[in-house]
Amino acid sequence: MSLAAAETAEIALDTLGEDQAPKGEVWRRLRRNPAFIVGTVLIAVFVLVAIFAPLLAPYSPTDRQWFDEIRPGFVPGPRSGNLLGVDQQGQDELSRIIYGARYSLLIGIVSTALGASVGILIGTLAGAFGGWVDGLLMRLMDVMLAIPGLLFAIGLAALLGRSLKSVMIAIAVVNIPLFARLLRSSMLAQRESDYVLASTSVGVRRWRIVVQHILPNSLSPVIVQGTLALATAIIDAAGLAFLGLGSADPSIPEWGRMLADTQRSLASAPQLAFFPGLAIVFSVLGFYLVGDALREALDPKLRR
Amino acid sequence: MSLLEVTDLTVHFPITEGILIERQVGAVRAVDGVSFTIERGETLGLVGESGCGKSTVGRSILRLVEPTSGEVVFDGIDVASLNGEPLRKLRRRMQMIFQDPFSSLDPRRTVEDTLAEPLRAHGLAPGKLAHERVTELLDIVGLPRNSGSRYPHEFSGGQRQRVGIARSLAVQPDLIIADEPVSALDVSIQAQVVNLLEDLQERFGLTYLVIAHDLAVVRHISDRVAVMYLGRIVEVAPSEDLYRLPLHPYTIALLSAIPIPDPDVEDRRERILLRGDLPSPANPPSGCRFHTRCPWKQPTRCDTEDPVLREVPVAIGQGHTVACHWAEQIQAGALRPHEVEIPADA
Amino acid sequence: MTLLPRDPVNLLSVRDLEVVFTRRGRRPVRAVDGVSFDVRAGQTLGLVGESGCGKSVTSLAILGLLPKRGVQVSGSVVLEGRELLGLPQDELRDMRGRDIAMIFQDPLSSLNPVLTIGRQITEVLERHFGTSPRDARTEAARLLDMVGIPGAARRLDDYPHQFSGGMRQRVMIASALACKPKLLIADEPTTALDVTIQAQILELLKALVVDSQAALIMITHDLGVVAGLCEKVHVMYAGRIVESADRRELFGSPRHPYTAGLLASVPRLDQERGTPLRPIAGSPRDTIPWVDGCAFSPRCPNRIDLCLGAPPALAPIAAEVAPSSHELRCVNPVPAPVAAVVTSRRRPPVRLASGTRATRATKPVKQAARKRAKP
Repeated sequence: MSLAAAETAEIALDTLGEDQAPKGEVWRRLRRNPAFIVGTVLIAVFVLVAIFAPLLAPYSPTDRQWFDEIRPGFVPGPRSGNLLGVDQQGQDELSRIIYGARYSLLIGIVSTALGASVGILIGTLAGAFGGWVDGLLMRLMDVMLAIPGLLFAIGLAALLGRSLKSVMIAIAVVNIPLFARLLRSSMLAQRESDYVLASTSVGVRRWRIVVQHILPNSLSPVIVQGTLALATAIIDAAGLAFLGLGSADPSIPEWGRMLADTQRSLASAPQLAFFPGLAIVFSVLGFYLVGDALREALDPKLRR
Repeated sequence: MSLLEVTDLTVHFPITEGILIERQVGAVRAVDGVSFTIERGETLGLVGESGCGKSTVGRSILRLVEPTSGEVVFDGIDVASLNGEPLRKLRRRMQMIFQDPFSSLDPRRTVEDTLAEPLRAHGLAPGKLAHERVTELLDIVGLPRNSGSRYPHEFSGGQRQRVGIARSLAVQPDLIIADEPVSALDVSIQAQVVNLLEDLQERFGLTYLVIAHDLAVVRHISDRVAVMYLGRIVEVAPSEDLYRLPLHPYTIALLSAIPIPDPDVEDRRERILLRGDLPSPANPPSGCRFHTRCPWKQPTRCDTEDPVLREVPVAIGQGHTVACHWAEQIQAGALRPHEVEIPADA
Repeated sequence: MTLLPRDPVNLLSVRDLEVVFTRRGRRPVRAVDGVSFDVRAGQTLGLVGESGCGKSVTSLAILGLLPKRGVQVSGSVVLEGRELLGLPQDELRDMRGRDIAMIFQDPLSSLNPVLTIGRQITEVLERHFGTSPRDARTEAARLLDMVGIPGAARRLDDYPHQFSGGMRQRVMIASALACKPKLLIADEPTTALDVTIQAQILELLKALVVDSQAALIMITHDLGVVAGLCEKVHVMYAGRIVESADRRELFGSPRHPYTAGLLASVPRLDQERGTPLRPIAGSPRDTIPWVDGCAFSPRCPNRIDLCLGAPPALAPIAAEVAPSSHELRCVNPVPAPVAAVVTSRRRPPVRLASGTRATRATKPVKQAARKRAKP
C-alpha cells in the first residue's frame, strides 16, 4: 500500500534525526526565513513607534507653531528641528507620521479582529451544521462579497457619518466573508478526516469534536489570513481616508488622510506626499512578509 | 442470538449533476445487498480488493456512513433506527480501528488526550481515574507508560496503530471493526499488531470484524471469511475451508494471485490470472457481477441471473456458502477455465 | 567520463555506494551506507527491505535522479564500462530510457497527466532514436499491445486518468521498454495495486524480461514477489546489504536473523493456519549507526557482545557442500540446519479440479515452543 511508501520518505530522511514537535519545526523554519526576520523587524518598529509615540515624537502632532512660516508655494522642508519638514498646517511632519502609526495600528487591529471573529463564527456554524444552515450562510457571504467594499464604505459613511468608526466597520465587514469561507472550507476538509471519524465513532458529541478537533486544526490558515488581513486593513484604511471617508477632523494624523491632503499642495510641498506613503508601505510590507513566511512554515506539505 | 446480524445492507452514493438544482443521475453502488452474521467471540474476516465495498460495510455498521437500506441488528438492537443520544450510547459497544495510523489520530492532541476522550465522552473515568485508565490502556497495548504526554508524530506507524487500538478498547466494547488494521505498516511490524489483536481478543472476549485485502493475514486471524466483489459477498466459509477449497471463481483467482515466499511453490503453482479491470460500481454488470472477468463464465445464466449465496454439497464442512451458478461443476473439474474476452473499450 | 576496462561479465557494477542526506540543523541521514552488487546481462535481481532501508534511494542514485542540494553521493556505479556517478545531466538523460529504464510505484504521478499516453511513449522513441512521428506511433501501439492493453491503437490518444491503476502501470512498462534498455529497474511497481492486478503485472514483467533479455532489478518489500521473480536476492537493512544469495538458497536457508525474522513474521497461505507469527521486536527506527556495530542488533534475537563496537563485514558463508555465492553480514547468524526447518518441508503441489491451489503444507516439524517476542 502506498501509505507505507509515504512513510518511506519520512523514515528514510528522518530515521536517524531527532524528533521534532510540529511547533518546534514551525519555529525553526521561521527562524531561518529571512523574509520572516525582516518582516518581524518592520512590524516591531511599527508597533513600538505606535505605542511609544508620545516619547518618540519631538512635538505634538497638532501643534501648529510653524504656521507662520508657510507662504504660498512654499512649505518648509526637512531641516534641523523638523526632520521631515512641516506640513500645510504648520505641524511637524515627523511627529504626525509617528502618531499616525497609532491610528493605522488601531484601525488595522480592531477591524481585522472584528471581521475575523464574526467571520469565524459564521464559517464554523456553516461548516458544523451543513445543510440549509450552510447554504443560507454562504449565500449571505456571497452577497457580501458581491458588494464592492468601497460602495459599502461610502454608504456606511453616509449612514453613520464620516469617522474612524465607520472606516473600521466597513473594513471589518469586508473581512467577514473571507474568514467565513476560510473556516468553512477548513471544517469541510477536516470533517472527512480519519480522526474526526474516529472521535465520532467513539461517541464524542458533535460540538465537542468541532471545538476540540476541528477548530484547532483550522488555526494555521486563520493565522496566515489574519496577518494578511491586517496588512490590507491598513491599506484600506489609508485608502478610505484618502477618499475622505475617514474622520472629518483635519488635525488627526492618519496617514491616508495626510496623503489626501498633499494633493492640494503638491506643487509647493511635494515632499509631503513621500513620507506617509513610505510609512504605509513599510508597515504593510512587514505584515505581508510575516504572513507569507507563516504560510510557508505552517504548510505541512512543504518538507524542505 | 448473534452479536451482529446484517441483512441486505445497501449503501448507494448518489451521483448528482446540475448547477443550481442537483439531480441524481446515478449511484455508486458501493454495497449492494450484503448479509452476514457474527457470533459473540468470533472473528469474521471481510476480504476483497479495492472497490469491493468492504470498508463501506464496516463504516455503515457504525453509521459513520448512512446505509441506504437494509438492517443492522446489534445484540438485538436495530442500529438503523437509533439517532442522537441512544446512538451515541450504542457506539460505546461497537468500536473501530482505522487503517491509517497517521491520519486517525489528531496531530494536535497528546496520546493521553486521545485516549481519555472516549472515557470522557461516556463518563467512564471522571477526574484522576482517567489518567490511571489511560496508563492501563497503554500497558495493555504494549506502549511505554509515559507515552501519554507525547504527540502522535513522535511515534512510529506501528506504535500509532497501537494507540488506535488502545482507543478502541477504552470503552470496553463488545465488537471491534478493524478496517485494514495492518496494511499501512511495515511487514515486520504487522505481525506484532496481529499478535496483539489476537491476545486482546482472548483476554477481553472481543468479537472482531476484520476488513482487509491481505488474505494471508485474514486467514491467520479469522474464524470465518467472507469474500466481497463489487458490493456483494460472493463466498463465505470457515477460514481453513475457504483456503483449502475455494469455490467461487473470484476466490480461486484471488488465492492464486497471492505471492508466496517460497521459490519452489512459486515456480510450480498454476495461476489463474484475471484479465481486465474492475467494472465501475456505478454501473455493475448484469446478472453475476463477476461474469465479465470470470474464466469459467458459461453462456447461460451467468450474465442474466444474479446468483445467491447458497450451501453446496461439495464443500468441506458446514457453513460454506457461495454465490455461483456453476460452483459444483467447477469444483468437479467438469468446466475448464477459458480465455476471457476483453471488450475493446474496457 | 572515464572508460574503465570492459567488465566481461557484469552489466552493472555498484561499488561502495553511499548516499547521505544533509539538512541544516539536523544530523545527516545515511540512507545508503556502502552498498555493492553486480548485475549480469539478463539477470533478475531482487533488492528487498522495508521502508527506510535505502533500496529506493539506491535505484535513484544509479539513475542520477537524486537532487543536487542536500545530497552527497559517493562510490561507483559502472554501466558497461561507463562510470555513471558524476555524469553531466545531458549524458544522464541520454542514458535514461535508452540504457536503463525505471518503473515507479505510483503510475499516476509518474505519468504526465496532460500528455496523452501515445505522446509520452513516442516522445521517448523520438528522443533516443530520432524515429519519425508516424513510425513512433506505430511502435507505440505495438508496445501497448505487447503489455496487454486492449484496443491499443485507439488508446494512444487517451490520457493517464482514463486508465485504471493496473493499466497505467502497463503503460509505464511499455514506455520503459520502448527503447529496449539493457537494464530495467522496477521500484515497488505493484505495491499500490490490488493483488489480482499485481499478479497480472508480475507475469507480464516476467515474460517481457525474458523476451527482451533485459536485466531486471526488482525493488520490493514483498518476499513473495521476489521468490517468484528474482534469481538473486539482496536483503537490505538500514542502508546496507545484510544478506545476499540465490533465491532458493535464501528462502531455503536464510542465515541473517533479519531475513529469518521477516520470513517468520509473515503469515503464509501454505502454512498451517494456526502457525504463530513470530514478529521482529521493535521497529525499523530502533537502529544504531553502522559505525557503532550492527544496525539490526537492537532488534536481534541473536545479539551477542560482538555485535557492538564494529560493523560486521559482508562475507561469504562457509559453505558446507560447495563454495556458494551466499554472503552474510552477521557475526552470529541463524544456524543452517534449524533455518532449513523454519520453512516447512513441502510436498509437490496438489492440483485440485480447479487447477490452482498451491501446495498443501505438511505438518511443520514441531519446534520448541518459543515465547512470542515482546511487541
